[in-house]
Amino acid sequence: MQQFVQGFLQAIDPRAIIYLLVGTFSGLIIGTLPGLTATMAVAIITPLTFWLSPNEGLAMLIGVWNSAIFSGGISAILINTPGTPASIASTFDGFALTKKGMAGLALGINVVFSCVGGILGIVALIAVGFPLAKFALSFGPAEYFTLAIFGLSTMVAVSGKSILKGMIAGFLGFSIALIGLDPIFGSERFTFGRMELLGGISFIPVMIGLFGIGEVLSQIFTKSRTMSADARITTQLKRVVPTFKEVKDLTPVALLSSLIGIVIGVIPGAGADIAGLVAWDQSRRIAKRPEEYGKGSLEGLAASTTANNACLGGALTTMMALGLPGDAVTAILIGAFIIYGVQPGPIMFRDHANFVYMVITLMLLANVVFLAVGFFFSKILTKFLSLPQSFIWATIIILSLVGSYAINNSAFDLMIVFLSGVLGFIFRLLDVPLGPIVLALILGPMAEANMRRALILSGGSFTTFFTRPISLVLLILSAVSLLTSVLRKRKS
Amino acid sequence: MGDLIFSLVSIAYSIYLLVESSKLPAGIATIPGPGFFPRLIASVILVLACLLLTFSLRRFFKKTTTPFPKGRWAQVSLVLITILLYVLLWGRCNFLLNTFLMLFSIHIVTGSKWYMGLIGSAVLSIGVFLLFGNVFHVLFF
Amino acid sequence: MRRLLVFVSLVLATLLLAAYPDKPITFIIQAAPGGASDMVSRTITAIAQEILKVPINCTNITGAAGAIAMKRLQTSKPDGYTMGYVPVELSMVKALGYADFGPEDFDLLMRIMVIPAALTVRADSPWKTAQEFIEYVKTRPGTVTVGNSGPGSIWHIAALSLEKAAGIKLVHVPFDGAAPAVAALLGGHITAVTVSPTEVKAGVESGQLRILAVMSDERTPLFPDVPTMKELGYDVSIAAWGGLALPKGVDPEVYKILADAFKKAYDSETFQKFLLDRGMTPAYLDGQKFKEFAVAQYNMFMELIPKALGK
Repeated sequence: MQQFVQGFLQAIDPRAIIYLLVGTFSGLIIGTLPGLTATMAVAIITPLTFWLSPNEGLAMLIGVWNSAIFSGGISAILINTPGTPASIASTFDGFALTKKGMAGLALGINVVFSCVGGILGIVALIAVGFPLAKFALSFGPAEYFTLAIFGLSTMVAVSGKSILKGMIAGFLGFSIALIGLDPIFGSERFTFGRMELLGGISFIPVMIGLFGIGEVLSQIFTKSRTMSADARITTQLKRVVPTFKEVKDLTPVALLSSLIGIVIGVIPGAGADIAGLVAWDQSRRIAKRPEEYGKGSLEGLAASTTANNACLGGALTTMMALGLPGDAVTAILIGAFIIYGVQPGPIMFRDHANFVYMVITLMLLANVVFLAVGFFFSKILTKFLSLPQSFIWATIIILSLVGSYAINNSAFDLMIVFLSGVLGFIFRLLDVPLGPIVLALILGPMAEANMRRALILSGGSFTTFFTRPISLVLLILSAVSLLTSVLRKRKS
Repeated sequence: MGDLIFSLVSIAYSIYLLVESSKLPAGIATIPGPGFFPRLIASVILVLACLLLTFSLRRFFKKTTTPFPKGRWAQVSLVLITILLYVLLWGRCNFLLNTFLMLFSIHIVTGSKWYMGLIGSAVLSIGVFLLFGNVFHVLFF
Repeated sequence: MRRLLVFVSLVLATLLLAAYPDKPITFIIQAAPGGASDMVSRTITAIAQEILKVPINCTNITGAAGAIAMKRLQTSKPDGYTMGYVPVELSMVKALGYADFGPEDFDLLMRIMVIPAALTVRADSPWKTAQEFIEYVKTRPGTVTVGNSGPGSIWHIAALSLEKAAGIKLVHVPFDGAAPAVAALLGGHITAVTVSPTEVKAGVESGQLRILAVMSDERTPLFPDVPTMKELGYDVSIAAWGGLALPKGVDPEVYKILADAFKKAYDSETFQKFLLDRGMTPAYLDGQKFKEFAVAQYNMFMELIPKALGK
């Protein structure tokens, strides 16, 4: 109890709160800009925190982390370009809502449900942290492979009108992910002797090119008025805060999505991007109007925004209870903890319980803080849409290019953005869906590496995927999910 | 029409992929090597694309195919060329100047008034330079 | 007249050099944010910029085991305004076939630290010592699974050298980084890992994992009770290391300014504490000694890697 009070008091120290605010604002900006990710934000700020006391430094890091994941959804909604990979699924319904003139409400949903997800994630950490972490360890290569397959079963759902075209697009994405060094033998694949290709095609430039540049080009092509200062749109922008009834209606979907987000967050190596995509597809099963998914459904948007923030609590659980990074950001946080003399892991809960309570309180506070400033920030950003079209297009193009360059300072990545942009434009013309491509880019490498790893461990026996219980359950779930999606498509 | 083009291009691509991946070792049956997945993926694309081709050919001969979308090809091509030039010239001349010129020509091509384009591009390029160059320490030239 | 010109240019040169550094220095990190290389770089540069009185801007360039970043560093202007972090891969990338340079193509500034490889198993496994483990593997060649951080990575090479030195046959399971390998060990999916003591520290302290031996010449300060492989009679010495480098051909005056500033930063209490907290052995070598060391490593890997990987 004394430990709890001590940790809690450290977290609500006024100086810590100020650093939390600074972190939240930095996170908002970095997350909204396409290309700059939460990982980058936390990495840039970590060395600065060495000179701060633990509660101040962690307040800043936690503020950045939480708000960057949330604000990635803002650019997904407004300009159809995910600000961070965690918000890919938010583009499906978020941008559709903007086209309907409901950008304000979409942003409001993003704020509210990111916060709901974030808080539920922490609640899970407090309530069932240790059993959850134990569950994460039962994931071996076989389970990772079947999890990837389960994620890939979403492909049909994100395929748009034609399943066949969606599948082809997905496998095209998979083939792009093959470029680089083979994950098991290290042999070069499709590198054409170029050093830049050894590391493979970076995912973020492809994503930004397909969504950001591709979207701009297709708008120029059709001269669509969806992003302009349309009188109808600006009147509706005013309402950002969702009504109580709207929130209540979205609650079941949000609860299921947080659960998915937490579980996927707990599993090391599976992050918020996968959580958002899987939650978007699976929550449809309990949605009131599943047929609206992808066409501007509030439920679909709530699902993806809840899941990606719920993921943070899951990742933090793995990190604190096992001392293992749940994702790239927690890998950096482990470093920060060690600098403050605290080794994450089971003994941390015994020897540094006050530190644990402090981190948990800060996580909860960070969600409350971005709930407060998020509305305000989103409202300002919607003004961006009332600029003349040429301004919007020019801004998206330059931010996409420089943002992608910023990740790796690589001129090669600029070329990738450009080519992906061309591809994104052509695919829009030919009515080929983009969802399956990014899905395969994220999950394809995970499926391949883990299938081969599992086969090395099992001595080449494929039965390993059916005899291990979690793996079997995931395979059955994938089959069910695939079948129902196909049947649903048939009906409509 | 779109389906027809997409399926043909996909078929060509999958054949290329098959040829390229045949140079990689496939591994033994139970432990797949580096070439196993590329071959698998290429074959799946080939089969699916052939299916799509048959469907779209049937529609093509029944004349029920949807016409190719009409749009502003000239503007899109000009914007694309501008971006391509910008990417190719990265590292040469001056970042601010290059960025300004690219943004300005996008403004003009998409129908902005010249003075609006001038102001917009100047503000945006300086803003990007300051934010990314000074705050995020991106390596510009 | 000619003498005067020489004199004037000398004075000018001294004046110009005296001004160094007068603008921000770019520091290239060859790995993604968050890893050991990144944290070492960001911490030492944060201290060094206070000494040099100019900002040092860190930038991450990833890919091909750091080869892309190191190539960029190698081809940068040797004016002292671009420098970078070089890990053990500096001596490995040529042997791996990723790039065509070695340590001699840089002006090495200093070595900072080493992290040895450590053979780690689960605490509930029957083996208490490395000998017991090796004897067990001898009875069942080709069935014991050992995780590493990726094909061709330093921890993969560590397992390969152990195989060679002990005359055993292991099953190597490459993971995407060291952390997933440790997770697989904790979950009981593999039998052992050969990654750094830092990565397994949390598991060891909580009583879930046991380090059998480290593969360095000396014991690691993080776990002083754990014997080295050499003490046990197996001739393996594999460690990751990291240091600082400049493009080849930097002016000696500039080199000295940087070397002094970074030595001061290295000696600072903050940095020494940081290294020990993160489980790295502080291992300063000056530029000359670092070069000799890196070249020796380079020769070792040029012989070891092609044989081990069949490349």
